[in-house]
Amino acid sequence: MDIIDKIPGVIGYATVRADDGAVEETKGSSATDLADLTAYFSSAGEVIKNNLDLGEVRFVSLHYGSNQLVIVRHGDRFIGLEIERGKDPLQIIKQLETPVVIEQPPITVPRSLSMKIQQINLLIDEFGGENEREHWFDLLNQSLGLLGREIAPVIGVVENRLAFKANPPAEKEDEYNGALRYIVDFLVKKAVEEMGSSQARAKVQTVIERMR
Amino acid sequence: MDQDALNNAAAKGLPMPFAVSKSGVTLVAPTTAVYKEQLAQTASLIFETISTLGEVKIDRMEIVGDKKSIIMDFDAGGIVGTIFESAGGAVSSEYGSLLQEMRKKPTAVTPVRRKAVIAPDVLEKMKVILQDYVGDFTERIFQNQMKNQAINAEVLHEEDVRRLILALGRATGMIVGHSKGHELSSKLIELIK
Repeated sequence: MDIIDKIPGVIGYATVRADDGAVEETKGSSATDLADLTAYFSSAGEVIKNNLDLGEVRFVSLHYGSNQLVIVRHGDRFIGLEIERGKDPLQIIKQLETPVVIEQPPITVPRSLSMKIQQINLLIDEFGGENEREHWFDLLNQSLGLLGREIAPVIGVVENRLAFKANPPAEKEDEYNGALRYIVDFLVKKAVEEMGSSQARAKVQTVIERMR
Repeated sequence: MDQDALNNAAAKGLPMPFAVSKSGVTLVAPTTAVYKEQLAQTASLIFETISTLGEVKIDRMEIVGDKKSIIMDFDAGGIVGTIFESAGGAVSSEYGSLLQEMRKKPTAVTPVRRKAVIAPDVLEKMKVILQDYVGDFTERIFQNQMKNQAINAEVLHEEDVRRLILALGRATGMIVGHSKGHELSSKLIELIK
């Protein structure tokens, strides 16, 4: 479901098969177990729909903490999309249903933020090499969920690169920069743990040189 | 929650309000009477599902159908909600406000008992312990989990603190390994024993 990676506002998502509830995929930076929530509540939603004669379900929405999970039927699967609480589920569903029609405005990112994004992508290249990229994308998503809460709805891994999915609001530039700094620190800390400080330092140095 | 509160909510604009306590007591407004039995079954299914998924504190569920929709608010006492005619898929925010108002009425049938209130200084003590595990990330992780779990730092209930501890343990586990995350959770639990 690569199309979902590009939808602004989606923090993470899970897909489950409609016939048996088996989890197919979980992606994004959510700190919540979206797969279980999607599987259990899509099934509960179907039972309640029949029980109360609601007609065909357009969506089920669960609210928890500062987020909500919007569950929609999409062909032979259910998709659970985590978005911020208070956002309009219909807007996200519309983009899921008609991805080609929706024209996204060009994304303009301030230089300070685009440099940080470039730095993170280069760190993933260096740390992940040819074979470990998936692992480093997992760590990147984890760090977004843990440390980049405010930035997670507008940023994500799209076609194997960290990228903004919507224009970052100008007044949030400092806040977003702060979040990205933490993510850089997290990735470097993980690299030191996993490959030792001298190898990690050498790879960080390569990134610095590539950015010059 | 009592019958008067439901009737008042109906008069104020909730189309088909209802309330179901954890113990299964089901109250419905006259407009909702036809669904009483189905709502009791629905509530039972939801209590079971939420209890299976324990760690996530779900406080609202909406199901939007193409004929009718339902919105339900959950708390320790049970469910309050309303069925309404679907209008283009949108859920009026007014329903949420009216449900909260309905919940505030004095409780007769479904007393809401929350576990003991904990002194807010426990949060600072938790941060000191967390610092040993995640160092420079402490404040950020702590604040993010407070927001994720919608914790009110001014009135801390034991169940909220326990939820926060679980979330901090999970977050810490992602950074320094799951065994360290469990170790942290155990140390933090000691603070509220």
